[in-house]
Order: sequence, then C-alpha cells, then structure tokens
Amino acid sequence: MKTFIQVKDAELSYGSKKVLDRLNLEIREGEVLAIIGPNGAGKSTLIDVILGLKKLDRGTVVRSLDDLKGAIGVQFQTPTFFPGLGAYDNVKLFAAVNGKAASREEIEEVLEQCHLQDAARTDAYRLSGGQQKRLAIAIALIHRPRLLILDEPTAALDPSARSEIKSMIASLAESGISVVFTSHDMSEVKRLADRIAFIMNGRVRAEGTLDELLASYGTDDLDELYALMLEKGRVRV
Amino acid sequence: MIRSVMALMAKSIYKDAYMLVWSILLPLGLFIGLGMYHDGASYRADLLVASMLLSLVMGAINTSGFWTMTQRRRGVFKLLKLSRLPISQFILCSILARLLMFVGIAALLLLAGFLLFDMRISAVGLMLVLALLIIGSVCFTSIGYAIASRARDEGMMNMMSTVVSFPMIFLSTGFYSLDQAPRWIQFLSKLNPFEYAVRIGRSAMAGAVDVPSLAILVAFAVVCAGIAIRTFRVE
Repeated sequence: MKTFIQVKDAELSYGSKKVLDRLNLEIREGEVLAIIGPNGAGKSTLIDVILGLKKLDRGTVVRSLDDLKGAIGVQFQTPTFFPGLGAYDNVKLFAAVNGKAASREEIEEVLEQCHLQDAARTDAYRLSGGQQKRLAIAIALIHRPRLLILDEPTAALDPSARSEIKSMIASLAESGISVVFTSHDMSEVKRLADRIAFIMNGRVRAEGTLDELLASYGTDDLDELYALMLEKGRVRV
Repeated sequence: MIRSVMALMAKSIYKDAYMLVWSILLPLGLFIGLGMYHDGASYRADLLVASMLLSLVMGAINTSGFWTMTQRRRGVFKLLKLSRLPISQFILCSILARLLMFVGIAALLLLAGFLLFDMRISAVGLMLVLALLIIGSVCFTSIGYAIASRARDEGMMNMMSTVVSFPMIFLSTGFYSLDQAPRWIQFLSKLNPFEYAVRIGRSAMAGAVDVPSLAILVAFAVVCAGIAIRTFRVE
C-alpha cells in the first residue's frame, strides 16, 4: 500500500507547551485512518502540520502525492463557507479557487453525494449544523481529491445527522478515496476506520487495526479500549 | 477563474445586511434628508461627496473588516491557503467586488442628486470620482483588513472599526467646516486620509483635479495596503 504522507519525529510547541512530541504517523493510499484522542491531544494541530499550514520545530513531513493542492480535500472543525451564498454557489466558488470550472452536473452530483440537493439554493448560513458539515465536505470533494481529511465531521450533531455523515464517509471510502478523520465517537471509528491512531500528549500512543488494538488491550469493547488507552497511553502495537 | 470568483464574491457581499444599512441606506438617507433642508448648491455638492465617501469608509473598514474576521474565524483563509488561488488574489477579488458596489452606490447618489436637486457632474468629474473610489477602496479596505488581523472576535472588531472610522469622518470637513475648530483638531484632520478623499471628491464635482490631495491619498493607500499585507493572518 502506497504511503501518501509520512510524518516523522514531528515536534511542535506553542510557547512552553509541547503540542507534538516526536510524533510518527503514516497515511496510506486507499485506507480510512481514524485519529482519536482526548481534547488537546494534538489532533487538529497534526492535521494542520499534514496540510503544511503549520511548520514543525523539528521532524519532517514527507508528502508523496503529486500536486498536493489538487490531491487533498479538507473539512475543518468549523464549517467553512461563504454566507450569502447557497450550497450550490459555495461549491462553485471553492471549485473556482481550486482552478476548476465545475459544470452544473458536477456540482449537482457532489451535492447529491452529500445529500444537499434540496438545499442547493438555501443560504449556507441558514442550513442546519449537519447540512453545514455536509456542505463543508461537498466543498472538499468538488475538485476530486484522492485524500479527504475530515476534522471531527460529526461533532456537535444530532444522532440522525451523525448517521447521515457516517454513511456518506463510508460510501466515499468505498469509492476509493482515502480518508483521514478525527473523532471522539467510538461507534463511528468502529464502523469506518481501517486503522486507528490514538494520540495523547502530542504522541501516537497506540496504532493499528481495530482487531489488533482490541487484542493488544485484552478487550472486545471499543469504549473500554479507549478508556484503557487513556489510562495506559503508552503501549504501541 | 478570477472572474467566476469575483462574481460569486460580489453575490455574497451584496447580501450582507450590514453593507445594506451602513453603505447604502445610511448614505442615501443622509444625502436626501440633509439635502432637502439645505438649498445651497455648493453644500449639496459637498454633501454628495461626503455621502459617497461615508458609504465607502463604512463598507471598506467596518463591513469588510467584519467580513474578513468572520471568514478567518471560519477557516476560510486556511482553506484558501490550500487552494490554487493565492490569498492575495482572493483579497484583490474581494476589493474589486466591493469596488463594484461602491461605484453602484455612487451612481445611485449621483442619480438622486440629479433627480431631486438638479445636480450635474461633467464626464471628467465622473472619471475623477471613479479614480477616487478605486484609490479610496484600496486605502480604506486595507485599513479594514489590518484591523481585522488585530481583532480577536466580533465584539473587538466592532469596537476597533468604530474607533477608527468614526473619528475619520468627524475629523474631516466632509459634513461641516473645521474653520472654527481647535487647532489640534485641524492638525489631526491633516493626518486623516478621509479628509484628502473629501478634497479630491469636491474638486472632482467641479471637474478639477486636486493633485496634492490625490498624491497624499495614493501614499496613504500604498502604506495601508503594505500594512494590511504584512499583518494579514490566515488564522
């Protein structure tokens, strides 16, 4: 399996606080990688580093994707869109900034993929929380990326909206797009992830497939596994 | 690509309620309201210029700054940094989209002046007003961007933009004479880009160019744009 991005011995501090501490992680082609860990563990910072938005104090990020800007689609924690524009126009605008003159069919296809066809003309500001998250994902998808990075795609959503987004991510993964997502929702991780990286205090403390991690911690319950990882936090599969 | 971005930006900006109030309704109401109570052609011409520039300053500093800060907090600039469009070009698109609106509002004010008060402006005067709007847009939008880079949240942005824009308007001869004002106020008005914009606008209404004021406003625009670029924050 080809490695898209490799983070090696990453170190980054904000003042005296070490946010990333000799962190190592690989993102591979065709897989769904879940990055989990408590709040403040360094997950969002790691995403910024992967995207080249933050520079490391030490360590390297090797990106083997050709045309990085065209190859990655991103959804940040706060839904990103322009108020005053509907879902359709927002997708069209972000396609344009990515150098793509998206056709009506292409935009409608992405909106349908994200279950937003009925909200195409609604001002993005007036969409529900779940719809705004889906719009952010539609914006990330319009330039046909090979790698999709989603930062807490289901956070602060009701169960029905969560379920819709989970189904969407599953179908995107099935279509061959590599996905990296952060989450606190273990059922989401269980359903979607091929591989899990548990981060705490800026370091990957455990990494592997769900079965490997469960076996390693001697449990068959994912929530219990998470609690154990938090408690021990140092075992690496 | 740029044209498409600019058109969609304009669509987004035009639906902004703050823009509607501060840059369209307030200047138009002020011009028509005060114009009806003052018969003097000269005062009405001054009022027209001041109303145009009020629209420009409120739109460029307050509304644009607020918009910029909100987009930054939403992560729009982070996302743009990952796109193929350089952020400088995106900012240019937003300035141009707003400029189109300022030109539209200026045309609306000129039309109101023509229909209600029988005011006239020459073709040269129109070209000079357009030049003023272009230079003024760069200058005042840059100030808005610079403030937005300093503000931490919407409340702070609101306070900072008000602290900058209102004294600019009050410390100028836009709506009244400063001849009887204390010397220190007269001195401060000489450091105020809005005052030079007012002078250029008044000369333009008479079909003339105020070269010294134009040079000073251009210098302000260059310095403010430089500061805005240097201080611009993606997040």
